[in-house]
Amino acid sequence: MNLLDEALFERHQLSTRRHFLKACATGLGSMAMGSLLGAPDPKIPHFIPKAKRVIFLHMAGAPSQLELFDYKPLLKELNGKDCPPSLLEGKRFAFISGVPQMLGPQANFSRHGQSGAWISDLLPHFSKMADDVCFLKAMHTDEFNHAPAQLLFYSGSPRLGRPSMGSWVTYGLGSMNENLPSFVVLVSGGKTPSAGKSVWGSGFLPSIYQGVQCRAKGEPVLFAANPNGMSASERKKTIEAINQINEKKYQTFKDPETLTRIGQYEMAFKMQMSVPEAMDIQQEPDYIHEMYGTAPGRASFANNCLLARRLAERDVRFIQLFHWGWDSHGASSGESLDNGFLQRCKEVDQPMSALLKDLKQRGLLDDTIVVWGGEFGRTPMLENRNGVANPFVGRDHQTDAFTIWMAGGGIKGGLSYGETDEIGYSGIKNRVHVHDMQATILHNLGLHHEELTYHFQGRDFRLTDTAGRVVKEILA
Amino acid sequence: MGEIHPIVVHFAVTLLFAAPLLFWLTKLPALYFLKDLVGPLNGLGSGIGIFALWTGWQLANTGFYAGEDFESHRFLAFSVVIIGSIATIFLLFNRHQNIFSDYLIKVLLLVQGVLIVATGNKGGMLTHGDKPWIKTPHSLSLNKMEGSFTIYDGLIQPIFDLKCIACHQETNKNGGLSLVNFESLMEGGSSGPVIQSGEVNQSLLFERITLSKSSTKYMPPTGWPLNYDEINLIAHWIATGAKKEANLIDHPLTDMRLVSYVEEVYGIKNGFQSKIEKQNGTMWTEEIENILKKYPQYLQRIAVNTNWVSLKIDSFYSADILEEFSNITTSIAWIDAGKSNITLEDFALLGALPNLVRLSLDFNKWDNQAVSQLVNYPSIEFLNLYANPVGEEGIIQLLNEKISLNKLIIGATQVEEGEKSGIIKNYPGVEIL
Repeated sequence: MNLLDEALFERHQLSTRRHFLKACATGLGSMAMGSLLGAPDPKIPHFIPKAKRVIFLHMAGAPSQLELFDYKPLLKELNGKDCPPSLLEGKRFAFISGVPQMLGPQANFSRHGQSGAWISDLLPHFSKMADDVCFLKAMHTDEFNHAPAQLLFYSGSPRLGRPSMGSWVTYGLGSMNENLPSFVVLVSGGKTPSAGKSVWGSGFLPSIYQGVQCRAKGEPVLFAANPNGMSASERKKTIEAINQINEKKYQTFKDPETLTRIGQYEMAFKMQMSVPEAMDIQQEPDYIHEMYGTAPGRASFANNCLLARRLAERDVRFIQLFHWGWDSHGASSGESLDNGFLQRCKEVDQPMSALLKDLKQRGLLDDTIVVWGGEFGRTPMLENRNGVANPFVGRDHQTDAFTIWMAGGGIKGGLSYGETDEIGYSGIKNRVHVHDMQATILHNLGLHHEELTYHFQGRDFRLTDTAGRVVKEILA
Repeated sequence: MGEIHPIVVHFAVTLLFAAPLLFWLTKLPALYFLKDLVGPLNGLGSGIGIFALWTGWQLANTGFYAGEDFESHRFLAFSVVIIGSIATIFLLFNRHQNIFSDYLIKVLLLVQGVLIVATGNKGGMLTHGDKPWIKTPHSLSLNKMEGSFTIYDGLIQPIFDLKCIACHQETNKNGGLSLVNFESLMEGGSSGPVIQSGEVNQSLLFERITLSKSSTKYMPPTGWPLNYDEINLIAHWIATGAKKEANLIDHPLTDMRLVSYVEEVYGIKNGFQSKIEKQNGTMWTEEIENILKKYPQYLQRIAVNTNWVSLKIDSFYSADILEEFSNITTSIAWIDAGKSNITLEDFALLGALPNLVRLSLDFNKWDNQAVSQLVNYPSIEFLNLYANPVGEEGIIQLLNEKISLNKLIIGATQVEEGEKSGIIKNYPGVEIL
């Protein structure tokens, strides 16, 4: 059955008498409810949740774990030596070809906190938070290019079409908030991630579950404000009229997407009030701005971190931040370990530490999971694009070992879980796959990753596909 | 085939109980026509019983079960099958004419029933330990705390009981070693002591269980070998001094894998566990269901598998609604009343809240007097007082009374930094932020 046939089939199914009796008795009732709220109804978790919301800090382009968290003194000694053929056999790289040279850590490391976690000197603010975070040092993924790796990271599949983690979570738990979308995305660094907006798309889930991107600069949501000369009451009447037409349309065709449309019109109307209020960081006191290093009116990671806290306070379920520019190949100054990378570290260090600290002092870290990471890691070898040394220092993409950290929301603080080999090339102990990370996040939100399913194209789909293990060892 | 012994046994037991029951029921005129079924039914039961004997024999051959209880279980099981078979033969002969007296058959069937119960009891003791009727096996009893049981009795002896004791007990001391308890273990065997306190690699016992499996000295020679986690547990116990009385708080596990193994297999929860994770909450009634349906924006069931309810109070709350919620006061476990401007008087309308474990009151106007009244809620574990006008006095009053408290947020209150560090020092059991 091709996609068109399937769509037609589903439509017929939706309009049969049996379906009407079965689904629409509750369907109509909940529609009225849904249109009142404009947000997905809250649902009951499978088991007692440790966390209510998630803040995901994604460093698009994949930061180098070898310059930040995974300290490898042996690599320093091997710096400049040719990579032994045993490490290259049977491996595919995005850019490395021929025999590359090993590249020692481009930063100094020291141990921090009571837990003695190794953190690079490039993150002076963050190193003070060492005892609050859990490092997953032997993460691994299946994809070595940005777009598929990001898709795998967020939707559990490297190909397009699956719902992203935030959509799964809002589908599984519903909204905690009547006036704001439950899945908000903030992008900084000037570019959307390589995988495009699919990393916050709802895939085959009803589109009411997709992430809403808010702009950090200017109007947070384009065209949400009333145009000059239109009053709020007029706008309200317009939306009511449109929704009445849509409801008639729904009665005729029973397309669930029409319901989404109705819900979104109402949400948009509420957002005219709630979003500008939530996104107005000017309201914050000076000491908060100092703490985050924010500059109101500019699109920056710092502003987004502060916004993330404000949204978390307002019970937005899933907040996803993207920061661009971590792809340190060394092909250009902006994307090199000796320049661009240092800038990126400076951009994120203070705000992400401030976010953790701020959530903690407000008691929000207790039920908020904060995750930081890129879509994969970087090689212990110096990148030699097409066999020729790059003009700047850089590393290639690496799938077999990288580091992410998690904090709060039922995750044990002050823990380094997993180990890589002596040069940080592969995880050798307590490896965690991307699917395992997803299963663990769902677990702490009270969802069983094997039971959170959606029936589509004849089978049940889930975020973790056919894999995933809850990493119980890192749970508090 | 040994693995299927328990399931086969239960088939046989069911039939061997059903047949006598039917025998007595067919004495009723209405069921008389079923009387010819009794013999075949008992026969089938005995047949499966013979099969169960064989599977049991296989299971025993793993070397995993031995001892007095095992001997009695085997003897009783044989008796059951023999008595069952005799009863069957008598029943079958009696189909057309009374060759054997009805009285004799009654006695046989009665003895058969009694023997099954006794066999089951002994079998249960082998798998579930002493008093199988009233006790669940140690691996199933959940939610023990680290401090409540000792490493040796709780974690180490069970491994010996499970995998070593068949050949190392008082009546069957192979190598002169008995592993029935701590004292006999420390006595050692014919080659001397088997445990060197603190020296894992010098300990003979550890050496023997970690040899290559092909070695003739490898222990256990038959049956299930010790797994990776069990070996690591024994190593942990020896390394920390091989003491009889030490518990996991004295010697915490450092290997994350062991921590999670111990939690999974022995149900020992590492660290803090909330009351609502340990208990399941008051009965779920229609009243609770109705009130949740009526106020979905306020109340939500915390999870499908518990009966606890969370409550979110916003600034639009009314006193009437809170009073209505007092009807389900025992079910409410979490309250988020941040930015709600709720007053102590209104909060009291919710009732006694005996199971309230999480309370968020951030951005409200609770002062010393109001906060000190929170001592009346006995179960609060997490309390968020961020941005309330409460001072040191109120916090200390609260901490002096509230033993249940685990985490307290007092940022942006009138407690000054100096006072705060004093409080943190004086109440080490509570995480204060």
